[in-house]
Amino acid sequence: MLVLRRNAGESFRVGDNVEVRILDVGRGRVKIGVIAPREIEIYRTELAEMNRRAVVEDWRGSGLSDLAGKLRPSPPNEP
Amino acid sequence: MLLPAEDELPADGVIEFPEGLPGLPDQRRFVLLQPEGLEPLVVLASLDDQRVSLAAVQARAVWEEYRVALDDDDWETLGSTADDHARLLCLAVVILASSGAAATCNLFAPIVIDPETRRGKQVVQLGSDYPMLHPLGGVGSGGGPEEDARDAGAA
Repeated sequence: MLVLRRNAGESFRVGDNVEVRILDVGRGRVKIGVIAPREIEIYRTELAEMNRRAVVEDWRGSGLSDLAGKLRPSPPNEP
Repeated sequence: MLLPAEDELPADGVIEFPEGLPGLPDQRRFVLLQPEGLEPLVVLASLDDQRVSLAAVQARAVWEEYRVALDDDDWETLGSTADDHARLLCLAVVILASSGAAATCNLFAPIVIDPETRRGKQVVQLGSDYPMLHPLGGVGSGGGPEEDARDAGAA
């Protein structure tokens, strides 16, 4: 992994078309601006992780039907 | 907005995700299933890898006032225009409960599908405060500060 040290207000480039700017540095938190062509999707790493965690290998398994049952409003004549 | 029943799907009911999905870039063709007994959940089953399916729930079913924001690129990917907004399906990807953690759905990045053009895209809702991990079973409401934003007119 390449490691860079940058101050607030400075930036770096990823290739010719992507610029990453450090806008503000707080305590343990940074604000980052990205300038990139529209066709480059920018998303938090967590989203990719979240999609992978969401993968169901067998949707006929019990996990989904159990959850579906909890999400359905129970009929009024049931206890 | 009602989901088409499975038998109403066109014979070639394949939904194409031209950009793939973050984290699952190789999955570009899915079918949308509404298996009996799984309502209100739907299943997006990948045609590129049979071991990959995603469960989802309509965003409006878990967040009454949910509104998805789409930009020009999103419309281009979907092959439709803002006039077609009403027919879009907006699905929140579900993560099943595991080891003590409750089941959640992702309202920050819903999967938007146009049933007419049969194209889909996962659309990150930058500038919204919709949660990525919305616990299933409760109904949320809006409000709260903006976290991320896209400058108007910026690249």
